[in-house]
Amino acid sequence: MICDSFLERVDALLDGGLAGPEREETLGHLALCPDCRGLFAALVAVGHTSEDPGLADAILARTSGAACDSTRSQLCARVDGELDAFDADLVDRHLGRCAECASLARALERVREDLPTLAAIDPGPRFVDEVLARTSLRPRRMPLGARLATVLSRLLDRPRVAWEGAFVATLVLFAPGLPPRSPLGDLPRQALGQLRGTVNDVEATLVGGARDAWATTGAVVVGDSVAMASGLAEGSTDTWDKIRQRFGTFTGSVASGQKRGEAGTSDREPDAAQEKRR
Amino acid sequence: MDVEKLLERCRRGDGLAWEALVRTYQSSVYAVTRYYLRDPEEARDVAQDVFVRLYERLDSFGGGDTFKAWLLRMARNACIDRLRRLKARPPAADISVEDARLSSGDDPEQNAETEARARLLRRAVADLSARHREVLLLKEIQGLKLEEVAKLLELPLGTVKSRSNRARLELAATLRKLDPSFGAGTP
Repeated sequence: MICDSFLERVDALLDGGLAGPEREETLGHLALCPDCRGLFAALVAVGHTSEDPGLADAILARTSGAACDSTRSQLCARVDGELDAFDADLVDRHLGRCAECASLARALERVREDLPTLAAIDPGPRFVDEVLARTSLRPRRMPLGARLATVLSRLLDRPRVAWEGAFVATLVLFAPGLPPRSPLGDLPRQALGQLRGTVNDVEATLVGGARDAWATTGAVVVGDSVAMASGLAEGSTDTWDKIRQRFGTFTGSVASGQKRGEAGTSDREPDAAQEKRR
Repeated sequence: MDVEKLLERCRRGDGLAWEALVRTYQSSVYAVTRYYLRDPEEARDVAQDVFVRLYERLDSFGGGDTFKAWLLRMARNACIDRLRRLKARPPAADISVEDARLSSGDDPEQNAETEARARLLRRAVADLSARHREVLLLKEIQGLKLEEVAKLLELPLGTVKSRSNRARLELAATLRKLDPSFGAGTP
């Protein structure tokens, strides 16, 4: 056996995994080779010495750097239970050694528990009542299809719809198929003509009636108005004549009084008595 | 409660179902509008608008998303519209702990501890960048799926995931700075 073969089997020998001829051969080489015996002794001693705490950190510092960043990138997934067993084990090993990351992991667990408690904020006792008051006054906006269905339903609920439908269906089905010179072929046109005639008759009747009514009523109104106006004019002329007559009498008496006053005060008394009598 | 069934009843005009829907989602919608708008009155106003819009468009929810994701997207869009109208984001104000529905029981000591935790957590969340806060709000706080957040924010899935992880790590680190004992008790 050569030393290379011994090195390949030394781990198994240390773990007690070697058996049978392989174990015998390895132990035989160990007894004969002083180099391999020294290496084996050193490897056995490693298992009994305490781990150098700074060694791994020193190696990491010189190689990949601290694993804290890698751990933190997976910490949320670890807290949420989304990591597979292998990755979860790796993170847990780091957390077992790194107090900073372990503290952060505990804080994350707590955040995960506490955050949902912020999901609800009470808007106050009157909120629901206010919303209900606002929504009860408003009609709900219906989609176009539903609105069309409602309109159609209302249309169909009309009492005459059956007759109207039957009439339209008859026209649609039979009128185009009728020969042009058929006595029934001109039926729609005739119906339309009759309808127009009826409308014209009604219109003429209405207009004529209105004209007659105006002729009768208008004459009466005009006659009454003229009579009233002439009566007023006559009345006002009579009144004016009376006023003018009185005014003339008054000015005449004033003038005669002045003449008498110039003749003597005693002459005034009969005038006053006369005025009083008047 | 079966949301699909609730929605179907709402579509048929069931007022009771509509009330139940509003009561179920009011706090989540308000939490989102508070996050974006900060101002409580603005947030309440926009949250109401969101529900009114929802009421008018109940038929337009056709699946694809979960209802909550759809509703929160509507809330987010409404907030962005409001912010555009306001032209500028209002100054950041911490959400008061009194608003948070965190009380876990009648024990005053426990409530005090819960409130202290909530205060610390909100302070740390407020310190995050806007991008991180938004992802954190939708994914971690509101519990939307990664795909839903990606669709809502129109971002690639990988971006959302990495942003979410960075946000959580940043948050955890901030919390430990604010309170070195944070998380110490977790095994």
